[in-house]
Amino acid sequence: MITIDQVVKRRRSRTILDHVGFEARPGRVTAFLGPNGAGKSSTLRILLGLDHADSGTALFDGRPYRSLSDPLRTVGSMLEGSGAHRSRTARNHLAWVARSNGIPQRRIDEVLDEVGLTKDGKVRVAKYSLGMGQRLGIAAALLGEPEALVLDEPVNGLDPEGIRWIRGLLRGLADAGGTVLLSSHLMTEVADVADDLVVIAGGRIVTTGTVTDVTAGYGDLEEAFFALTGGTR
Amino acid sequence: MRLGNVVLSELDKLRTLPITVLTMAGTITVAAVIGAAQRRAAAPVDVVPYVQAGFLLLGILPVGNEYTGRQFRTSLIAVPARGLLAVGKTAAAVVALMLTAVAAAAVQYALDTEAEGIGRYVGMTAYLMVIGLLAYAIALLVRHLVPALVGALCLVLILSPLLAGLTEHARWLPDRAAAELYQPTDAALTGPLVAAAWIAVIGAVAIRRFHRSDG
Repeated sequence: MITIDQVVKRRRSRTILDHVGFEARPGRVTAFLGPNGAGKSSTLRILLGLDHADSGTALFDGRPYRSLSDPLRTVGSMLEGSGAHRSRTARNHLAWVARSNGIPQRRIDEVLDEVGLTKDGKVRVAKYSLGMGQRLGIAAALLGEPEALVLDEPVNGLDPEGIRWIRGLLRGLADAGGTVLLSSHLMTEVADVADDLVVIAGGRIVTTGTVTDVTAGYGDLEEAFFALTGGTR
Repeated sequence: MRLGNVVLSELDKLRTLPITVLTMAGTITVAAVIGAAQRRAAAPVDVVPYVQAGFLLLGILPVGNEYTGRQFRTSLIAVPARGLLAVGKTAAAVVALMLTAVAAAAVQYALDTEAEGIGRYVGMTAYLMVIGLLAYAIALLVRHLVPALVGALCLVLILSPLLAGLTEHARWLPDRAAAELYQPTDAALTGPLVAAAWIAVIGAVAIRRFHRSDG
Protein backbone atom coordinates (compact mmCIF):
# COMPACT_ATOMS: atom_id res chain seq x y z
CA MET A 1 0.00 0.00 0.00
CA ILE A 2 1.33 3.42 -1.03
CA THR A 3 -0.07 6.36 0.94
CA ILE A 4 0.64 9.93 -0.03
CA ASP A 5 -0.82 12.49 2.34
CA GLN A 6 -0.93 16.29 2.18
CA VAL A 7 2.38 16.63 0.36
CA VAL A 8 3.49 20.20 -0.28
CA LYS A 9 6.59 21.10 -2.28
CA ARG A 10 7.74 24.62 -3.04
CA ARG A 11 10.51 25.72 -5.35
CA ARG A 12 11.47 29.27 -4.47
CA SER A 13 8.13 31.07 -4.22
CA ARG A 14 6.25 28.66 -6.47
CA THR A 15 4.12 25.87 -5.01
CA ILE A 16 4.58 22.90 -7.31
CA LEU A 17 2.68 20.38 -5.16
CA ASP A 18 -0.29 21.67 -3.22
CA HIS A 19 -1.48 19.20 -0.57
CA VAL A 20 -1.22 16.17 -2.85
CA GLY A 21 -2.72 13.01 -1.42
CA PHE A 22 -3.86 9.63 -2.75
CA GLU A 23 -3.46 5.89 -2.25
CA ALA A 24 -2.29 3.04 -4.43
CA ARG A 25 -3.64 -0.26 -3.17
CA PRO A 26 -2.28 -3.81 -3.39
CA GLY A 27 -3.67 -5.98 -6.18
CA ARG A 28 -4.47 -2.94 -8.29
CA VAL A 29 -2.82 -0.88 -10.99
CA THR A 30 -3.08 2.82 -10.16
CA ALA A 31 -2.45 5.29 -12.97
CA PHE A 32 -1.25 8.76 -12.01
CA LEU A 33 -2.36 10.99 -14.86
CA GLY A 34 -1.76 14.60 -15.73
CA PRO A 35 -0.34 16.88 -18.37
CA ASN A 36 3.41 17.55 -18.51
CA GLY A 37 4.49 19.78 -15.64
CA ALA A 38 1.44 18.94 -13.50
CA GLY A 39 3.56 17.52 -10.66
CA LYS A 40 3.64 13.77 -11.40
CA SER A 41 7.41 13.37 -11.39
CA SER A 42 7.80 15.73 -8.42
CA THR A 43 5.38 13.57 -6.43
CA LEU A 44 7.17 10.35 -7.38
CA ARG A 45 10.59 11.85 -6.56
CA ILE A 46 9.36 12.68 -3.05
CA LEU A 47 7.79 9.22 -2.72
CA LEU A 48 11.17 7.65 -3.59
CA GLY A 49 13.13 9.82 -1.17
CA LEU A 50 15.03 11.73 -3.86
CA ASP A 51 13.54 15.11 -2.94
CA HIS A 52 12.32 16.48 0.38
CA ALA A 53 8.71 17.52 0.82
CA ASP A 54 8.11 20.82 2.61
CA SER A 55 5.32 19.09 4.47
CA GLY A 56 3.22 15.93 4.28
CA THR A 57 4.16 12.26 4.05
CA ALA A 58 4.67 9.65 1.34
CA LEU A 59 4.79 6.12 2.73
CA PHE A 60 5.10 2.46 1.74
CA ASP A 61 3.10 0.38 4.23
CA GLY A 62 3.54 3.20 6.71
CA ARG A 63 7.26 3.72 6.20
CA PRO A 64 9.12 6.42 4.26
CA TYR A 65 11.30 5.10 1.43
CA ARG A 66 14.50 6.33 3.07
CA SER A 67 13.87 4.17 6.14
CA LEU A 68 13.46 0.90 4.19
CA SER A 69 16.36 -1.50 4.58
CA ASP A 70 17.39 -2.89 1.18
CA PRO A 71 14.60 -0.82 -0.42
CA LEU A 72 14.85 -2.54 -3.80
CA ARG A 73 13.44 -5.69 -2.21
CA THR A 74 10.29 -3.77 -1.24
CA VAL A 75 9.88 -1.19 -3.99
CA GLY A 76 10.99 -1.36 -7.60
CA SER A 77 11.08 1.93 -9.44
CA MET A 78 12.00 3.66 -12.64
CA LEU A 79 12.14 7.38 -13.36
CA GLU A 80 12.89 8.60 -16.89
CA GLY A 81 14.90 5.94 -18.65
CA SER A 82 17.56 3.50 -17.53
CA GLY A 83 19.45 5.61 -14.98
CA ALA A 84 22.60 3.76 -16.08
CA HIS A 85 26.01 5.24 -16.91
CA ARG A 86 26.45 5.29 -20.68
CA SER A 87 29.80 3.56 -20.80
CA ARG A 88 28.73 0.61 -18.63
CA THR A 89 27.12 -2.54 -19.99
CA ALA A 90 23.55 -3.36 -18.96
CA ARG A 91 24.77 -6.43 -17.12
CA ASN A 92 27.37 -4.46 -15.15
CA HIS A 93 24.80 -1.80 -14.32
CA LEU A 94 22.40 -4.40 -12.93
CA ALA A 95 25.30 -6.06 -11.07
CA TRP A 96 26.15 -3.05 -8.92
CA VAL A 97 22.49 -2.24 -8.30
CA ALA A 98 21.88 -5.84 -7.14
CA ARG A 99 25.02 -5.88 -5.00
CA SER A 100 24.06 -2.72 -3.10
CA ASN A 101 20.89 -4.40 -1.81
CA GLY A 102 22.34 -7.89 -1.31
CA ILE A 103 20.29 -9.29 -4.21
CA PRO A 104 21.74 -12.55 -5.63
CA GLN A 105 23.56 -12.09 -8.97
CA ARG A 106 21.45 -14.81 -10.63
CA ARG A 107 18.61 -12.30 -10.70
CA ILE A 108 20.49 -10.38 -13.41
CA ASP A 109 19.95 -13.15 -15.99
CA GLU A 110 16.36 -13.55 -14.86
CA VAL A 111 15.40 -9.89 -15.25
CA LEU A 112 17.31 -9.48 -18.53
CA ASP A 113 15.29 -12.41 -19.83
CA GLU A 114 12.06 -10.98 -18.44
CA VAL A 115 12.50 -7.65 -20.25
CA GLY A 116 13.87 -9.22 -23.44
CA LEU A 117 17.45 -7.89 -23.24
CA THR A 118 19.31 -11.20 -22.79
CA LYS A 119 21.35 -10.88 -25.97
CA ASP A 120 22.09 -7.18 -25.35
CA GLY A 121 23.31 -7.61 -21.78
CA LYS A 122 26.95 -7.07 -22.72
CA VAL A 123 26.28 -4.02 -24.88
CA ARG A 124 27.18 -0.59 -23.51
CA VAL A 125 24.16 1.48 -22.56
CA ALA A 126 25.32 4.30 -24.90
CA LYS A 127 24.31 2.05 -27.80
CA TYR A 128 20.83 1.42 -26.47
CA SER A 129 17.71 2.86 -28.13
CA LEU A 130 15.19 4.78 -26.03
CA GLY A 131 13.01 1.67 -25.79
CA MET A 132 15.91 -0.56 -24.73
CA GLY A 133 16.89 1.98 -22.05
CA GLN A 134 13.32 1.86 -20.81
CA ARG A 135 13.46 -1.95 -20.66
CA LEU A 136 16.74 -1.78 -18.73
CA GLY A 137 15.15 0.63 -16.24
CA ILE A 138 12.30 -1.84 -15.75
CA ALA A 139 14.80 -4.70 -15.36
CA ALA A 140 16.48 -2.81 -12.51
CA ALA A 141 13.07 -2.20 -10.93
CA LEU A 142 12.31 -5.93 -11.00
CA LEU A 143 15.69 -7.06 -9.57
CA GLY A 144 14.60 -7.29 -5.95
CA GLU A 145 11.28 -9.02 -6.68
CA PRO A 146 9.49 -6.11 -5.00
CA GLU A 147 5.88 -6.09 -3.88
CA ALA A 148 5.41 -2.49 -5.05
CA LEU A 149 6.34 -0.96 -8.38
CA VAL A 150 6.57 2.78 -9.08
CA LEU A 151 7.12 3.73 -12.72
CA ASP A 152 7.33 7.22 -14.18
CA GLU A 153 6.10 7.29 -17.80
CA PRO A 154 6.97 3.64 -18.43
CA VAL A 155 5.51 3.53 -21.94
CA ASN A 156 7.68 6.43 -23.18
CA GLY A 157 9.78 5.33 -26.12
CA LEU A 158 8.30 1.85 -26.27
CA ASP A 159 7.00 0.53 -29.57
CA PRO A 160 3.45 -0.91 -29.74
CA GLU A 161 4.78 -4.40 -28.96
CA GLY A 162 6.64 -2.95 -25.94
CA ILE A 163 3.53 -1.17 -24.69
CA ARG A 164 1.57 -4.40 -24.95
CA TRP A 165 4.34 -6.21 -23.09
CA ILE A 166 4.46 -3.72 -20.24
CA ARG A 167 0.69 -3.81 -19.83
CA GLY A 168 0.88 -7.56 -19.42
CA LEU A 169 3.75 -7.26 -16.95
CA LEU A 170 1.95 -4.70 -14.76
CA ARG A 171 -1.32 -6.64 -14.85
CA GLY A 172 0.50 -9.79 -13.83
CA LEU A 173 2.21 -8.09 -10.89
CA ALA A 174 -1.04 -6.56 -9.63
CA ASP A 175 -2.93 -9.84 -10.04
CA ALA A 176 -0.25 -11.49 -7.91
CA GLY A 177 -1.09 -9.03 -5.12
CA GLY A 178 1.47 -6.33 -5.90
CA THR A 179 0.92 -2.59 -5.73
CA VAL A 180 1.54 -0.88 -9.06
CA LEU A 181 1.71 2.89 -9.47
CA LEU A 182 2.53 4.35 -12.87
CA SER A 183 2.45 7.88 -14.16
CA SER A 184 1.58 8.95 -17.67
CA HIS A 185 0.58 11.98 -19.66
CA LEU A 186 -0.95 9.64 -22.27
CA MET A 187 -4.28 8.58 -20.82
CA THR A 188 -5.24 6.30 -23.68
CA GLU A 189 -2.16 4.16 -23.19
CA VAL A 190 -2.91 3.34 -19.58
CA ALA A 191 -6.70 3.21 -19.72
CA ASP A 192 -6.75 -0.51 -20.55
CA VAL A 193 -4.44 -1.58 -17.76
CA ALA A 194 -5.40 0.77 -14.89
CA ASP A 195 -7.92 -0.14 -12.18
CA ASP A 196 -7.74 3.19 -10.37
CA LEU A 197 -6.98 6.66 -11.65
CA VAL A 198 -5.50 9.67 -9.91
CA VAL A 199 -5.59 12.87 -11.96
CA ILE A 200 -3.30 15.80 -11.15
CA ALA A 201 -3.26 19.26 -12.72
CA GLY A 202 -1.31 22.33 -11.67
CA GLY A 203 0.08 20.59 -8.58
CA ARG A 204 -3.34 19.59 -7.22
CA ILE A 205 -5.20 16.31 -7.31
CA VAL A 206 -8.37 16.97 -9.30
CA THR A 207 -9.99 13.55 -9.03
CA THR A 208 -9.41 9.97 -7.93
CA GLY A 209 -11.42 6.81 -8.39
CA THR A 210 -11.91 3.78 -10.59
CA VAL A 211 -11.86 4.23 -14.35
CA THR A 212 -15.69 4.00 -14.32
CA ASP A 213 -15.98 6.64 -11.56
CA VAL A 214 -13.69 9.10 -13.28
CA THR A 215 -15.23 8.79 -16.72
CA ALA A 216 -18.84 8.96 -15.50
CA GLY A 217 -20.59 11.84 -17.19
CA TYR A 218 -18.01 12.09 -19.97
CA GLY A 219 -17.94 10.45 -23.36
CA ASP A 220 -14.65 8.68 -22.74
CA LEU A 221 -11.48 8.91 -20.64
CA GLU A 222 -9.87 11.38 -22.99
CA GLU A 223 -12.80 13.76 -22.69
CA ALA A 224 -12.80 13.36 -18.92
CA PHE A 225 -9.05 13.99 -18.81
CA PHE A 226 -9.21 17.25 -20.72
CA ALA A 227 -12.25 18.47 -18.83
CA LEU A 228 -10.61 17.72 -15.46
CA THR A 229 -7.16 19.09 -16.26
CA GLY A 230 -8.50 22.20 -17.95
CA GLY A 231 -6.80 21.43 -21.25
CA THR A 232 -8.29 22.04 -24.65
CA ARG A 233 -8.79 19.42 -27.28
CA MET B 1 21.31 -2.10 4.66
CA ARG B 2 24.78 -3.39 5.11
CA LEU B 3 27.80 -1.16 4.63
CA GLY B 4 29.70 -4.11 3.16
CA ASN B 5 27.20 -4.42 0.30
CA VAL B 6 27.36 -0.69 -0.38
CA VAL B 7 31.18 -0.72 -0.50
CA LEU B 8 31.20 -3.77 -2.80
CA SER B 9 28.66 -2.15 -5.08
CA GLU B 10 30.72 1.07 -5.22
CA LEU B 11 33.81 -1.01 -6.07
CA ASP B 12 31.77 -2.72 -8.82
CA LYS B 13 30.93 0.71 -10.21
CA LEU B 14 34.62 1.66 -10.39
CA ARG B 15 35.75 -1.69 -11.76
CA THR B 16 33.24 -1.83 -14.60
CA LEU B 17 33.76 1.70 -15.86
CA PRO B 18 36.46 1.73 -18.55
CA ILE B 19 37.75 5.21 -17.69
CA THR B 20 38.58 4.28 -14.07
CA VAL B 21 40.52 1.20 -15.10
CA LEU B 22 42.33 3.15 -17.83
CA THR B 23 43.26 5.91 -15.39
CA MET B 24 44.68 3.39 -12.91
CA ALA B 25 46.62 1.49 -15.58
CA GLY B 26 47.81 4.71 -17.25
CA THR B 27 49.09 6.17 -14.00
CA ILE B 28 51.01 3.01 -13.10
CA THR B 29 52.45 2.86 -16.62
CA VAL B 30 53.69 6.46 -16.39
CA ALA B 31 55.33 5.63 -13.05
CA ALA B 32 57.06 2.64 -14.67
CA VAL B 33 58.27 4.63 -17.68
CA ILE B 34 59.68 7.41 -15.49
CA GLY B 35 61.27 4.80 -13.24
CA ALA B 36 62.97 3.16 -16.21
CA ALA B 37 64.15 6.53 -17.58
CA GLN B 38 65.49 7.43 -14.16
CA ARG B 39 68.06 4.64 -14.34
CA ARG B 40 69.84 6.48 -17.13
CA ALA B 41 69.39 9.99 -15.75
CA ALA B 42 72.35 11.77 -14.19
CA ALA B 43 70.32 13.32 -11.40
CA PRO B 44 67.37 11.67 -9.58
CA VAL B 45 64.00 12.48 -11.13
CA ASP B 46 60.98 13.21 -8.97
CA VAL B 47 58.15 11.08 -10.36
CA VAL B 48 55.39 12.72 -8.34
CA PRO B 49 54.69 15.68 -10.67
CA TYR B 50 54.25 13.23 -13.54
CA VAL B 51 51.77 10.90 -11.87
CA GLN B 52 49.78 13.23 -9.62
CA ALA B 53 47.42 14.27 -12.42
CA GLY B 54 46.39 10.60 -12.63
CA PHE B 55 45.56 10.61 -8.92
CA LEU B 56 43.59 13.83 -9.24
CA LEU B 57 41.51 12.27 -12.00
CA LEU B 58 41.13 8.98 -10.12
CA GLY B 59 39.90 10.89 -7.06
CA ILE B 60 37.32 12.76 -9.07
CA LEU B 61 35.91 9.84 -11.08
CA PRO B 62 33.93 8.03 -8.34
CA VAL B 63 31.74 11.09 -7.76
CA GLY B 64 32.06 12.70 -11.20
CA ASN B 65 30.70 9.63 -12.96
CA GLU B 66 27.54 9.77 -10.90
CA TYR B 67 26.70 13.11 -12.45
CA THR B 68 27.53 12.41 -16.09
CA GLY B 69 24.03 11.22 -16.88
CA ARG B 70 21.43 10.04 -14.41
CA GLN B 71 23.31 7.38 -12.49
CA PHE B 72 23.22 9.37 -9.26
CA ARG B 73 19.45 8.97 -9.11
CA THR B 74 19.84 5.19 -9.41
CA SER B 75 22.42 5.29 -6.60
CA LEU B 76 20.07 7.20 -4.29
CA ILE B 77 17.18 4.87 -5.07
CA ALA B 78 19.34 1.82 -4.33
CA VAL B 79 20.92 3.36 -1.22
CA PRO B 80 18.59 6.11 0.06
CA ALA B 81 20.51 6.54 3.33
CA ARG B 82 22.85 9.24 2.09
CA GLY B 83 25.35 8.99 4.93
CA LEU B 84 25.76 5.28 4.18
CA LEU B 85 26.16 6.00 0.47
CA ALA B 86 28.81 8.65 1.17
CA VAL B 87 30.74 6.32 3.49
CA GLY B 88 30.58 3.42 1.00
CA LYS B 89 31.68 5.58 -1.87
CA THR B 90 34.55 7.09 0.10
CA ALA B 91 35.74 3.63 1.17
CA ALA B 92 35.74 2.43 -2.45
CA ALA B 93 37.64 5.56 -3.57
CA VAL B 94 40.26 4.95 -0.85
CA VAL B 95 40.71 1.35 -2.05
CA ALA B 96 41.18 2.42 -5.69
CA LEU B 97 43.59 5.22 -4.73
CA MET B 98 45.55 2.98 -2.40
CA LEU B 99 45.95 0.18 -4.96
CA THR B 100 47.18 2.65 -7.57
CA ALA B 101 49.48 4.55 -5.19
CA VAL B 102 51.04 1.35 -3.83
CA ALA B 103 51.56 -0.01 -7.37
CA ALA B 104 53.06 3.26 -8.63
CA ALA B 105 55.44 3.53 -5.68
CA ALA B 106 56.34 -0.18 -5.84
CA VAL B 107 57.26 0.10 -9.52
CA GLN B 108 59.45 3.10 -8.70
CA TYR B 109 61.12 1.32 -5.82
CA ALA B 110 61.80 -1.78 -7.90
CA LEU B 111 63.44 0.28 -10.65
CA ASP B 112 65.46 2.48 -8.30
CA THR B 113 68.93 0.95 -8.16
CA GLU B 114 70.13 3.44 -5.58
CA ALA B 115 67.16 3.31 -3.25
CA GLU B 116 68.32 4.44 0.15
CA GLY B 117 65.38 2.94 1.95
CA ILE B 118 61.74 2.23 1.63
CA GLY B 119 60.76 5.25 3.73
CA ARG B 120 60.61 7.73 0.89
CA TYR B 121 58.39 5.39 -1.11
CA VAL B 122 55.97 4.91 1.76
CA GLY B 123 55.82 8.71 2.02
CA MET B 124 55.23 8.97 -1.72
CA THR B 125 52.35 6.47 -1.50
CA ALA B 126 50.80 8.49 1.30
CA TYR B 127 51.23 11.78 -0.60
CA LEU B 128 49.58 10.42 -3.76
CA MET B 129 46.65 9.09 -1.73
CA VAL B 130 46.22 12.46 -0.03
CA ILE B 131 46.22 14.22 -3.42
CA GLY B 132 43.59 11.74 -4.67
CA LEU B 133 41.45 12.24 -1.57
CA LEU B 134 41.69 16.00 -1.94
CA ALA B 135 40.35 15.68 -5.50
CA TYR B 136 37.64 13.30 -4.22
CA ALA B 137 36.51 15.85 -1.62
CA ILE B 138 36.47 18.63 -4.23
CA ALA B 139 34.36 16.45 -6.56
CA LEU B 140 31.92 15.65 -3.74
CA LEU B 141 31.55 19.38 -3.13
CA VAL B 142 31.30 20.50 -6.77
CA ARG B 143 29.31 17.46 -7.98
CA HIS B 144 30.25 17.77 -11.62
CA LEU B 145 33.10 16.01 -13.37
CA VAL B 146 34.57 18.78 -15.49
CA PRO B 147 34.45 21.70 -13.01
CA ALA B 148 35.89 19.43 -10.29
CA LEU B 149 38.70 18.30 -12.59
CA VAL B 150 39.52 21.83 -13.73
CA GLY B 151 39.44 23.10 -10.14
CA ALA B 152 41.69 20.36 -8.77
CA LEU B 153 44.18 20.56 -11.66
CA CYS B 154 44.35 24.37 -11.40
CA LEU B 155 44.94 24.21 -7.67
CA VAL B 156 47.69 21.61 -7.74
CA LEU B 157 49.39 22.22 -11.09
CA ILE B 158 49.05 25.99 -11.58
CA LEU B 159 48.04 27.90 -8.45
CA SER B 160 50.32 26.03 -6.08
CA PRO B 161 53.60 26.41 -8.07
CA LEU B 162 52.68 30.01 -8.89
CA LEU B 163 52.06 30.98 -5.27
CA ALA B 164 55.13 29.07 -4.13
CA GLY B 165 57.24 31.47 -6.20
CA LEU B 166 55.57 34.48 -4.64
CA THR B 167 55.16 33.72 -0.98
CA GLU B 168 56.40 31.22 1.54
CA HIS B 169 52.83 31.00 2.88
CA ALA B 170 52.11 28.72 -0.09
CA ARG B 171 53.26 25.89 2.17
CA TRP B 172 49.78 26.02 3.75
CA LEU B 173 48.19 24.90 0.47
CA PRO B 174 46.99 21.28 0.73
CA ASP B 175 49.34 19.79 -1.86
CA ARG B 176 52.42 21.70 -0.59
CA ALA B 177 51.61 20.66 2.98
CA ALA B 178 51.11 17.03 1.95
CA ALA B 179 54.40 17.03 0.04
CA GLU B 180 56.16 16.99 3.42
CA LEU B 181 55.10 13.34 3.54
CA TYR B 182 57.86 12.41 1.11
CA GLN B 183 60.17 15.41 1.00
CA PRO B 184 62.79 15.84 3.71
CA THR B 185 61.68 18.43 6.25
CA ASP B 186 62.22 19.43 9.87
CA ALA B 187 58.57 19.66 10.89
CA ALA B 188 57.44 16.29 9.59
CA LEU B 189 54.03 16.31 11.26
CA THR B 190 52.64 19.78 10.51
CA GLY B 191 52.32 19.30 6.75
CA PRO B 192 50.27 16.10 6.81
CA LEU B 193 48.03 17.57 9.50
CA VAL B 194 47.42 20.71 7.44
CA ALA B 195 46.58 18.59 4.38
CA ALA B 196 44.25 16.38 6.45
CA ALA B 197 42.51 19.49 7.78
CA TRP B 198 41.91 20.75 4.22
CA ILE B 199 40.37 17.44 3.20
CA ALA B 200 38.28 17.26 6.38
CA VAL B 201 36.87 20.77 5.92
CA ILE B 202 36.09 20.38 2.20
CA GLY B 203 34.69 16.88 2.86
CA ALA B 204 32.50 18.06 5.76
CA VAL B 205 30.94 20.89 3.73
CA ALA B 206 30.44 18.48 0.81
CA ILE B 207 28.76 15.79 2.93
CA ARG B 208 26.47 18.37 4.53
CA ARG B 209 25.39 19.45 1.06
CA PHE B 210 25.10 15.82 -0.08
CA HIS B 211 22.74 15.14 2.83
CA ARG B 212 20.44 18.09 2.40
CA SER B 213 20.07 18.64 -1.29
CA ASP B 214 17.37 17.15 -3.45
CA GLY B 215 18.64 14.27 -5.57
